[in-house]
Amino acid sequence: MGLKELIQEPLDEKKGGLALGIVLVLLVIPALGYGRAWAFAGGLRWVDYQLLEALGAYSLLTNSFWSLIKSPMLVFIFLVAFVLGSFIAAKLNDEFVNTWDRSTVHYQIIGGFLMGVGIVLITTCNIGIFLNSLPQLSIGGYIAAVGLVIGTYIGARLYERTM
Amino acid sequence: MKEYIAAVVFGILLGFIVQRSRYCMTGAIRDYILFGVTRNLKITLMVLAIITFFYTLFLTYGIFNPTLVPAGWFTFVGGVIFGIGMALGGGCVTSTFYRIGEGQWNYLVSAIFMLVGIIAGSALFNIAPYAFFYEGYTFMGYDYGLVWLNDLLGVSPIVVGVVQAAIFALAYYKIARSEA
Repeated sequence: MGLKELIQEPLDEKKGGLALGIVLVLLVIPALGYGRAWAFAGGLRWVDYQLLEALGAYSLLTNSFWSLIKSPMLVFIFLVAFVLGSFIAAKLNDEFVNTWDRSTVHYQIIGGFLMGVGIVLITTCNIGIFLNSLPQLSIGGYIAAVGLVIGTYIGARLYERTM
Repeated sequence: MKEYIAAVVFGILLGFIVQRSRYCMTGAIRDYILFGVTRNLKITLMVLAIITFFYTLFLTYGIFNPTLVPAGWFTFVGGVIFGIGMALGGGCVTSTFYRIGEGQWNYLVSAIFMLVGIIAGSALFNIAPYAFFYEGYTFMGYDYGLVWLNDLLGVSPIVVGVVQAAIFALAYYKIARSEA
């Protein structure tokens, strides 16, 4: 498979899974620079830190546990680069859609808000649970994973009913 | 500086792969439960089989520092709340941001309300004396509930990791075979 196909063909589940798996292994190797597993919640927290610091309410977001979590700004940069990577992939393949789907905005308001509240309790996002804590055998990760599956089921049923 | 360059390179690479493979974890759980569609579930299982093996291997040799996730009943509740949110919002944090990269601007609303939700959640759960994980909080005798399955079993991470990776790989092959 040439580079051109690699860039342009949509990845099927085998190639996609393998590519994702390899990158996620490389991601955690400190010698390669990043040295931590995948999660984006820290990047969002960093944005909130900046907002609340400007308002003088920084202490709202932090306590003794959060002080153990290092350099969320790095995660924010990682998140911005991730959006850029998706943008490049979409542009190269004429999949950049530039749309505003008004019909789902109320779901996005409620969904986004609930994800934000959930992030505070599980201290990370769902990727941070499934593709980060679970493969590290973290007990908190297993507990949150069960909650996430149940919550997704409830949410999907709710979505179906209210559509 | 090196870590910032790595964050940019890995971020772009990951965004590229996720967009090209249309990977969505909300979809992995939702589509399987509701419609029996397994595409995203299979990607998740394959990734989990690979990274469980390597992460536990690396942890065994102390190559990287483990991610800290506290444990307690609030972890379960948080998972349920987040799960409902990602199913309603049509995507988790990751798929929300890759769709923003694709120009689906309504997902920016999700992103903004995640920021609002974190502030609201912090106001509710983060401040002593209501905080769930504060200095002195323990779960099963571990500070902040930071405990790993291999610790409880008294073995090294790779021992549990091999078993867990095999379970994920087996689940992948069972699903793939049933569809062949």
